[in-house]
Amino acid sequence: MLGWEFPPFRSGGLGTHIYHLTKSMAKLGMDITFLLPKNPMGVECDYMKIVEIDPSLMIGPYSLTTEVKENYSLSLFDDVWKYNMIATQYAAKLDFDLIHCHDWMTSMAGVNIKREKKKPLIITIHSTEYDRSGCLCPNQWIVDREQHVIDYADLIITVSQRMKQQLIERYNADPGKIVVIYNAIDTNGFSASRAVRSFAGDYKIVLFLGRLTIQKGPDFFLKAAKKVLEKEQNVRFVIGGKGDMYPQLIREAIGLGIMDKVMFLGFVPDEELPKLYALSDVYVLPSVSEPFGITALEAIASKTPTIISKQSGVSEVLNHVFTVDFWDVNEMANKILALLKYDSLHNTMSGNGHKEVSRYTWGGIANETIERAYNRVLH
Amino acid sequence: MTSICMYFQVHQPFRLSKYSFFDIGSKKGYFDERRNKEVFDKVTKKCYLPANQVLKELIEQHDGKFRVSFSITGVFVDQCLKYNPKVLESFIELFDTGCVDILDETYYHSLAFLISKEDFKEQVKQHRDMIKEHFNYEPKIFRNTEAMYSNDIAKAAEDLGYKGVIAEGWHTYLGWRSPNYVYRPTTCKKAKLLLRNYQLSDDIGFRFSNRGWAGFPLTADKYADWLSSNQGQTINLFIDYETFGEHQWEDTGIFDFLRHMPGEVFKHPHLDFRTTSEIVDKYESMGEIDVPYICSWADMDRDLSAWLENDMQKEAFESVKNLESQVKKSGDSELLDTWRRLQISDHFYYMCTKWFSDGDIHKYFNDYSTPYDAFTNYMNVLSDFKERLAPSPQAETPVPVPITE
Repeated sequence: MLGWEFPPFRSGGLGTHIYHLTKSMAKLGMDITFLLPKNPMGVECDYMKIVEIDPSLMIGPYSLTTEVKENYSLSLFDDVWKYNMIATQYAAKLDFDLIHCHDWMTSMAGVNIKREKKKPLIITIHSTEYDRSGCLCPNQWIVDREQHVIDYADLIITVSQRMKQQLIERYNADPGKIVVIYNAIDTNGFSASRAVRSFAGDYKIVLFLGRLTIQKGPDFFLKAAKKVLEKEQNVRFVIGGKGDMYPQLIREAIGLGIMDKVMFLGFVPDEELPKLYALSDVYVLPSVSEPFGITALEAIASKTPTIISKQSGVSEVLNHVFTVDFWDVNEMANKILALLKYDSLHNTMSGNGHKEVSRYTWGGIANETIERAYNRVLH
Repeated sequence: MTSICMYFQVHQPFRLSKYSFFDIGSKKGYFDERRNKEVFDKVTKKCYLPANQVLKELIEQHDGKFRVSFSITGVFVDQCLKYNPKVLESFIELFDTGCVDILDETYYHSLAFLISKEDFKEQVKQHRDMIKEHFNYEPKIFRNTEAMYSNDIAKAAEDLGYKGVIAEGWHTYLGWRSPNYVYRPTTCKKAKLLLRNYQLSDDIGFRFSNRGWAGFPLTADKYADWLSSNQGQTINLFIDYETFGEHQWEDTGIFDFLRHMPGEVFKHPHLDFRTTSEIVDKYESMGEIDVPYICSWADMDRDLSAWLENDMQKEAFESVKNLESQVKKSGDSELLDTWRRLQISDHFYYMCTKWFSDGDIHKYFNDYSTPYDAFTNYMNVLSDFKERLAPSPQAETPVPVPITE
């Protein structure tokens, strides 16, 4: 298996996904060798062999360092190139039955190894360049890499129907070789009991969590916040995450006159997440385009009622949530207000939601991946 | 002799407008006139008019020996008068054949019995007056919303002068006994209890077009055979009228089934058709039935859980219930009518979250994408209604001062 991230290093949902998936598949008896770019945080893993490649690689495609002027750093392409070359060489010496890679960063090696070793290639597409750029100015080189692997892979796994549809429409992918397998959640990592608040003030908290980019829709969150505050002042809007829209969002909050009710947390480390979810009264995922949206599962596992955009893949699997069009800030505000105002709604939705997400386990996903993807290309 | 007693329930709720939190205080109307008319027109075309026509032909064809009963809610009649009076005329015409009985219920298809005994009585009286006005008839049989029934409800109905009450023929209180007999509620002196034969009723109402069902396809002669093999005084087939053409579409053959069923029944000389009132007059009670808690004919639980199970349903119901004295003190008949329309049971049904067992049918009848949307919308309407009830000097919303320095 080839992937760009593995805990503790991660910048999006990809690392978490790979960790839980490989762990559950190892339990089912899969023998996995994982080729990972080396990163300074190191890696610990006792259930599969991890090969770390090229110590100079440490910046991810979602890199949030402020010196990045455009969507991607120039060195990233360099790193990706090097990783793929080395990984291809390394794999030549290995003996295995199939190749499974994740997203475009590892796809070149995937295609090369397939050619050289004549083994089937599976790619999981977690997001495409169109998602990450908010469809505004996709990087054509990345789109080409994606197109290439979509054409050459024997089987494609997507994390939602929405993503499958996108691959068919934008990449002309063969629908017959796409399998939809949703994400899951390890509910043990999240506390279903409300966190004790150590701060003063008896106000409610509405949470946004994600990169501050066009794709995640933080500007719509602010506009909805403004609407909510017209009716209810005893509430704070908390924004967790970093990204290139940060300065613009601050200006917007000031312009709307709500800066005193909005808190920017910056990057939130993994270990702080469960507490943050449990402190919040409402979680909002207003993404413009979201292949899945695993934070929704995390929030619900923390018994925080959740509003998700209809443009998210996770809306295909959840019943006990509010869904709203990302641009419909009036309706978003209406739903936030309802959750803040009516305890019975809050309790019923969080109780049923928690039960619902508990059914989406990684064990189930691992099983599905083997049954519906691996067995299909091997037999 | 065993009688077949068919009673059809006729009801359409007043569905609410999409009501945002930001609509509170905006004087926007509560009821979605366009949507309500749209549904009413659709069901009129698919069910009410064609089904009434079939029944009329059957009554004529069988020289009055084919007899049926109806319970028609007040809010349905309101919609007839508003959207298409011909529908009401068609029911009146059917009633005037003399082969049709009409039942009473709460005008608003509400859970009024749980609001207060007093409001319950007023809503029943309102229904009674409406039937008197349009049909010139005084019903003898009482049917509570969704066949909600208990000893207390039976007693209340008897006190109001009814000779019979409708309930589900459910095994928890019937035990080994058959629903095909007339019983007496344990709290009543004379009033009789008519119990729904849910098996034979649901064969038509739910299973008719189910290809996975062993009884499929259900033909009129097969069904008449099943009826004839049942023993007892009366087989009570209580069915939503919308079954004909709306729940079971015309292409399932439901109208053909209805057209041929009476003829097939008459091939069995020991079977006849009787109205609800006739059953009560004709048959003696065979025993007492004790139902200390409220049951209904809904879902697998046959209780109130479709309307009053989760916290949202309870909060919404308590909120509307608590307004009674304020509404009545206002003396405003329009406010009273609106308050009672907000009691229509369907509003609470839309908030039901028992999706995983009874989910399919709830989703089918649900006007909202989720029960959470149903609750939010209802509570927003109710918040506005509270403001209309007790207009308080609006507190000025402090405008946040933009930080521009």
